[in-house]
Amino acid sequence: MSHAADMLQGRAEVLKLARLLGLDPDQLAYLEPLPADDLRALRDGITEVLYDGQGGSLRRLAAASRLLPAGLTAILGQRAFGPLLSARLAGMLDPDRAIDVAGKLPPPFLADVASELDPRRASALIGGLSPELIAAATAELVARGEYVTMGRFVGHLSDPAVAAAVSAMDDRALLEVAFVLEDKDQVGRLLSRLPPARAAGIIRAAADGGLWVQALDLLKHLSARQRRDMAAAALALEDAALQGVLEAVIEHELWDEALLIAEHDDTVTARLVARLEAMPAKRRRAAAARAREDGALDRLGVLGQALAGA
Amino acid sequence: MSEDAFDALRAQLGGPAPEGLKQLKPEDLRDLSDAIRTARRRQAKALADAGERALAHIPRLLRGPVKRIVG
Repeated sequence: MSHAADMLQGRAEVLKLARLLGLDPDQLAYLEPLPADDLRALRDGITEVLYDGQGGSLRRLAAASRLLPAGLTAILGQRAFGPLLSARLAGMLDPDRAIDVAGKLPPPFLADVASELDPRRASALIGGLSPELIAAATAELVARGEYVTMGRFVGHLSDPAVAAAVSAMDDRALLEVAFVLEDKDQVGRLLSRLPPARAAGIIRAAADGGLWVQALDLLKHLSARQRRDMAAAALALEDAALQGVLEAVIEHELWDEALLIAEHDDTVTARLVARLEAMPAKRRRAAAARAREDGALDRLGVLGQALAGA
Repeated sequence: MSEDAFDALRAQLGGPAPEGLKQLKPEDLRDLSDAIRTARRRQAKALADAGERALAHIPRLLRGPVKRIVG
């Protein structure tokens, strides 16, 4: 994995760890320089500790709830169990029964439960939920900015449910969710049926929210057509916004990602080269060394030459 | 000192911790261990409280059988 790819994944992992521990991502900023694979392993370890605790008594409680009708279990879930306990029990119930109970819950409570759920432990339940229910819960999660939660669910949803979820997300939410997707192979699935017009919206959201790291990361995972649409939307931005793209590229050394835009417009390359040539020599040499280590320097063409100071 | 902090993290995880975390400063390792401990305690208390509340809401007729299963 290149330095830049590791940085992007590491940043997404810190967001997920912060969500899991109930912290602000800034409180875990010291983790960002660590390898993304180590952060992922750390998150898996914490998830095991948090979700496997009290396993015995929870299993007994899940068994006891079989004595109750689904409607009563749904009422108990809201009034007594609360979202945390409901989320733990959800993965222990028979999936058909859990789907029945979920269908009787209001979307705000479903969103509460989703935020506390480890989707890997309730995959059959999640895959069986109706697109209508998923859309309603997604709308709630979008309103709360629960992007990490949504990103963890995508891989477990049916295709119609993914389409329903996407239709309930605004452009910023799509960008943020794609960045923290548990499995990046799911980006294509998330965006496969996206109307071309939304490419411009997503790029606008990146410009308005200063989310170029997320947008540049997204480019790598798109189909050629979608990438072309996004690059065109980026190139159509006002100059100040395009400047923001170049700054993100240079700050985070996202050279490969920059090429995905530059291949559609030579002036982007020329502007980047000018910026690189103006960089302090020490910083440029360090960036060139990292690109060389990744085996990227030759592949980057004139950008690589500018980095190397040739 | 750093080994102690790493061991404390391992104890919170109840198993191995990723070796890459040894790059962290001892104070950051301790901060991470504290954050995990706090999350575990918060969750254990929330689950225990919810279990208690749940029993109070179960209809009287079913309370006996449910209590026998839950233990």
